[in-house]
Amino acid sequence: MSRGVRQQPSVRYAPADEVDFAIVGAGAAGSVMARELSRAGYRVVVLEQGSYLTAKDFKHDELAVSAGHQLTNHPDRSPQTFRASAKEKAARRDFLIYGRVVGGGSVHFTANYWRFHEADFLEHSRYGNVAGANLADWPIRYADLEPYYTKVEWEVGVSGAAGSNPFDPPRSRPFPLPPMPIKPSGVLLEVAARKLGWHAAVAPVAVISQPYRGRQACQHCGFCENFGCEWGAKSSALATMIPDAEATGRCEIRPNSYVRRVQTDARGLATGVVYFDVSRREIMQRAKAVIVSANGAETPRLLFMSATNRFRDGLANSSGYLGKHLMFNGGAFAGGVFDHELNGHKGVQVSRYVQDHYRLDPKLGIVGGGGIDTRFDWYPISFAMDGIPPDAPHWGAGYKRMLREYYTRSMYALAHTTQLPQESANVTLDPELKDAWGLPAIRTTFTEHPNDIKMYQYFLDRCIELLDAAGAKSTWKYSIDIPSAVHLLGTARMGNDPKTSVVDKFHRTHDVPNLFIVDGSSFVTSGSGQPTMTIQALAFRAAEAIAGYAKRGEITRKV
Amino acid sequence: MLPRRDFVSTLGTGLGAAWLAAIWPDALADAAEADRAATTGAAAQFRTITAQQAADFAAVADRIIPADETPGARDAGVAFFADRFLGGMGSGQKAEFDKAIAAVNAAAKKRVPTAASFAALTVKQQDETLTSIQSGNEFSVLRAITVAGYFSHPSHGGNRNDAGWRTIGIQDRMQWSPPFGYYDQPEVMTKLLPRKS
Repeated sequence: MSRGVRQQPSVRYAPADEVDFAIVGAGAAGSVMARELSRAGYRVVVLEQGSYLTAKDFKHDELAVSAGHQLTNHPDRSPQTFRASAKEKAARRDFLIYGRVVGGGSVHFTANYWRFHEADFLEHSRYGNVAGANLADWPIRYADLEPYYTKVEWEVGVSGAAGSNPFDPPRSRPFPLPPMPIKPSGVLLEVAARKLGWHAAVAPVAVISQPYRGRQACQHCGFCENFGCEWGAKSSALATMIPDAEATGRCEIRPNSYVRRVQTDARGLATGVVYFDVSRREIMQRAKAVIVSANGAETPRLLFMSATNRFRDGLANSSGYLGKHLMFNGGAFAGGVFDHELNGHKGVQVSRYVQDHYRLDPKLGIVGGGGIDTRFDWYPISFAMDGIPPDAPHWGAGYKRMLREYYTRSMYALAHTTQLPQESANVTLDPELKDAWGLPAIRTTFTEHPNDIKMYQYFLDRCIELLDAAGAKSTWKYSIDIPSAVHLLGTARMGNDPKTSVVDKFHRTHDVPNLFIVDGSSFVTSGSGQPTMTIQALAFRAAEAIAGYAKRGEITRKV
Repeated sequence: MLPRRDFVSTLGTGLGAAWLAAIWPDALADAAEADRAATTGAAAQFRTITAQQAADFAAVADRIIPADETPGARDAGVAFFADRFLGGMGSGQKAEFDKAIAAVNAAAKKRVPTAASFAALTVKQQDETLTSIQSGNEFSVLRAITVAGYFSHPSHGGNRNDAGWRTIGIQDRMQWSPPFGYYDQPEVMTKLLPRKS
């Protein structure tokens, strides 16, 4: 399997060699930028904090990806702090989880690839000002992004069924690949939907159901969410965009390279990046332009660390918006056990979903909405820790019996929803704690908006309703506790007005013409599902625009 | 007490020993040593925890996941797992483990003042002891390591002979094909989702 083996680096640039683009982060966005810009003829270096793993490094080893943090930020090397509000001092807490390998979070994600609907771009038009939130419309619409959603589906490989979801926005092409097989959890969602008058739809997933562009089809091994795919069938950026970028001979992926600063000069232009190499030497890579794609937490952190006299509050932060409006998507989670085997551990996690609650009835007084899927996304250790009902015995003979009965006979309903952008929810540099390189740790300040607590309760009730209608013998809820902090969004908002946004609608920062930000931090509002597909669509669109600027000599000045 | 199984060919997953040796050479040696200890009855070589800690932890673990139709945590090798885990990937938890074992022994002595340690109690006394501390942080730590030892990949030293995976009715395979369970069998689907007329 040719894509499982890392190619010899096709090109190596010297640090003093002023490449066309230095890209920070080889995740879902950075990988798209690298592929598109190197294909357009530009010399590109991608600096990635994490390692360059490949398919042969991916094993069915739950301990390695959980306690071992093989694919994600390691709490020992990258500790974090957390506080509920700015009134408190932040305490040590590893709150955010993100990918830290070449391919980023797309290596371990669940691969749900829902497009935004038009409503997702127009939250302020729809709801006006909501107290305690800072809603805004996006500077783009669904129609602007549609061609790029389609490009994502065909370039990375997404399996699905056009027309299956009556709530889906219009599309210009069908899916490139037929649906993945329905799972028992999908059958039961269809049973429930018929009873409730909802519309079960084929879940679009970034996993290939058939061989595609030299990659092997999914073998349904089940070690999907949280794991790298040893088959190359999960359409991670690692399996798709990275090899394409390297094949141009113009793109160097430089792993174990931890960018600590974006350098700017007296003209106020970016000149390159300073990074720690694997031996912790500091090196400056020169570049004509810099693209930051480090994720919704690391991107603002890097720009805070790149502060200058001109930008004391962080590079490109004249608006003061950097780091603010941190969103994760909301979610509700409930379980149910059934008479017969579902064997949810086989196959990808999700095969069906419903979007009947995508925007809630205004009479409910809840802003936003979302979708619900059914799945089994435990693995043996995590299931034995938290998978059975919270009030069940958690040790002893009864506990063991319950593990045996429930593992193969349970499924979970998971809602993904909007989450309001709050100025008070943010990422900043911790004033005291340092990471293993001596750099300031990420400090998260976050409390759920009351609207989103109501939304959680509402969707929790819908999840239980769904499981009951599916025929569950019994059901149980998971409390809201803390949201799952894995979708990192909103912290370098896109907009037309430099006073209320960090980047323009083509991801150029308002303040530094040759500095671009392309990742989840660009989001204006959270969307109602998962962000990676939209992040990649935005990246394809940004790459097209940025290649155009470079071609016309407009990289260092906004025309 | 279940009879000890013979450790047959592979290390539990149906994958050849050669495959494991290629990617986890140390783990292969570890797991083989653990199994040798189990089959010969000789004491396993502990590197990180003491033999007494291993005995007490195995006793705690065997009440958390007792033997029934499948092995309990002790026979699944969780003590050996804990030794390797706390000296490697989980080294950050070693101090907590030490505190937790000490707390369990203190609770045991509180219950039975003449007991040498938790391992020396009767099963009934052990359950009563654990019940008295089950809401505390120390118990959570031991439960988490027990669960990790029972269910993690056998290359880490536990889950001997896939005891954990057999308990919950799964196998680790590289490939499955549909139908995956009961509800996606075609006849069942036809009944559950009759064609709308």
